[in-house]
Amino acid sequence: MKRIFEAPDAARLELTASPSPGGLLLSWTAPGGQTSLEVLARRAPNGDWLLEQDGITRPAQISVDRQNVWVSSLDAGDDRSGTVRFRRVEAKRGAAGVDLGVRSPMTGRVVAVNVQEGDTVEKGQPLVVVEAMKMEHVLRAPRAGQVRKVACQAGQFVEGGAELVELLDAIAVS
Amino acid sequence: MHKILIANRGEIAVRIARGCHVLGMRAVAVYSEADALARHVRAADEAVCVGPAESALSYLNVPAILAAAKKTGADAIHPGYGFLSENVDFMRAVVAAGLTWIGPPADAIAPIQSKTAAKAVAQAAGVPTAPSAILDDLGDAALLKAAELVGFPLLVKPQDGGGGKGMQRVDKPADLRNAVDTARRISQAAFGSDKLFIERYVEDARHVEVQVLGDTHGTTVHCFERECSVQRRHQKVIEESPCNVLTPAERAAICESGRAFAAQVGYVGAGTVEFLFDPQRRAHYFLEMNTRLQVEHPVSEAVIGADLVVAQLRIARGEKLDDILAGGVTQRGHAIEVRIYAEDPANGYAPQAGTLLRVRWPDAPFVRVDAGFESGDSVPMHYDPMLAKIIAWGRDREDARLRLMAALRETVVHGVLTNVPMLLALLAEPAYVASEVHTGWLDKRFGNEAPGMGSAAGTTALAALAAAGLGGPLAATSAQAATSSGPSTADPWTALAGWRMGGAA
Repeated sequence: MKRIFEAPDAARLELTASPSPGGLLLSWTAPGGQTSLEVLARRAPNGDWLLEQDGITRPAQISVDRQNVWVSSLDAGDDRSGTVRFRRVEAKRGAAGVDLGVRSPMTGRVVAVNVQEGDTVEKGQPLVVVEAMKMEHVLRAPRAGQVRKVACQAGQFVEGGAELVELLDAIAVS
Repeated sequence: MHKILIANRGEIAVRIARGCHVLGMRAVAVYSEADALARHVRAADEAVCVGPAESALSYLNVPAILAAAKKTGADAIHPGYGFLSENVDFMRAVVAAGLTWIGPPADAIAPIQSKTAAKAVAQAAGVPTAPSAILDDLGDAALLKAAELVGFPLLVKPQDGGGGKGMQRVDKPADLRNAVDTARRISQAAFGSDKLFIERYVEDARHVEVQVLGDTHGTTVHCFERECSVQRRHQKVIEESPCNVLTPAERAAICESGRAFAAQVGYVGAGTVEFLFDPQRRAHYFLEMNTRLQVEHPVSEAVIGADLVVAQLRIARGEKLDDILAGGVTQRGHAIEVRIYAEDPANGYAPQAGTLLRVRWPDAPFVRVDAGFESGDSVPMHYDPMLAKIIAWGRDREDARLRLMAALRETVVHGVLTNVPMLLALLAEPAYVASEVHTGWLDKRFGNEAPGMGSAAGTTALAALAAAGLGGPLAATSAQAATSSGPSTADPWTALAGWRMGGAA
């Protein structure tokens, strides 16, 4: 069983897990390489998680919604927030690569669409401009890829979280 | 005064309700349809719906708010900050309805609502203002004479403008003519008037503001200063007290200026007089007065050890400051506040709305949290997305800074993105640690960058992610998962909500 997530630094993570005698055998492939851990996960009555690895237990809080997993832990570093949002990257059936949905960060009005289906885009390239509360927000490509679908048009009102552009990962395209 | 209607929402409405309860008064909340289940409604003794989600139809709906006061038998109204707090017409309507207004009398603040009028009041009170001159004569010689009187660098500003439009910075006499012509052109096009004035530009200015209190017996006191120089596009990001670059003599002078200005207008209640402090000239200049309780009032409360909301309520019921602040006001230690916003700094600070899946505010010695939201609450898209304020007190600035950083690391907000990572990065910035900041520092140092956002995840976070996203559902259906090689038909994510894990599968 494999799942793909996007970390806040736009790194793509592939995670796998399987039952093991010590709990769960977890492994993930990130840009830094592959990591494997055997972890026993317990849940405290208040909903917190306790992750035991090699006899050392570390606390974490986890929440899940449709598109994200939110994780808080205390090992991020002195000047870092322990809370991280991992975006779930869907591997749609039949697709040649991995779809990256570019979603509106808030409810607002689309004021400009800068790309068309089939366009190749660079990381950071402006895709769509959404206006809300008299402020314009430029949605940029999270990484290089190809525009698979444009799901909005200029003038349209969109909900926060609505997918506006579908990108096909450059790794899959090339 | 037995029952106070709070014409606000979010953390400040919660905070005011607590102040009422200290004095044994009942608190009445008002709410919009979008806030029917909100935290501030749950903090009050009674609550009344005042209209639909849109602020103009609810939190700014004067007839509905007055009707709510009548319905609940409230005898006073506390406006909080924002919304109707500085609306002179509302103040007059409250008084006309026979209710007590918890704030300054309308007649005291009407004369200082415009910046130019307030400046004249400051001068009358002997409060320093930045040197300025009205440009009547636009001939070269007259311009130069006015400019030399004001001093370089200076700003050329439209008299009838606002929002910084048409404003030109001039560093030397040779650039004056061009700047004046440009400012006239822009001002004429934007405001229909080409009248200009010039004002000294304060380089690397620090924002220092003085907390004042006035009672109904003619006494006005200051409660020392706050510094709010870390600003993003004129929005305060970090607030603290005291301002640690002032000498005792400078502090005494600026605090007395604040008190004198408030006394000049016959101020009653809690207010803030804002100044720019010029670190080169070691001088302060009057900016404006905020005639309300401010967002950052808790840092003053922490260092002076007084409850400003309770002081407001006691002043409103006619008590004397001599009794309210018996023993006088002294500064002790240092306090720093940050505002937690539901926003995405890495995406143009886009406001975030949604359900807070999980919230855990810090709980530690000398840390205060004023929050408007708890786990499960919704953040509506209609209002300012501030979730909470976190304030840390310490024996000195460094002690407060370390406590605040630990509190932020402990803070859990799931469901919407917040500025917490950015706040942590800013609190660790060497220039902030050394207190070498000014009002333009944050924008100059980071521009549109969002420091601290988008950092790599730690090992525990990744293990937790793996355990939650994969281990849980697999453990629950281990037999099926273990033998299944292809994609599972059941979406494990939907199974997660009902999953309780006791250990190994």
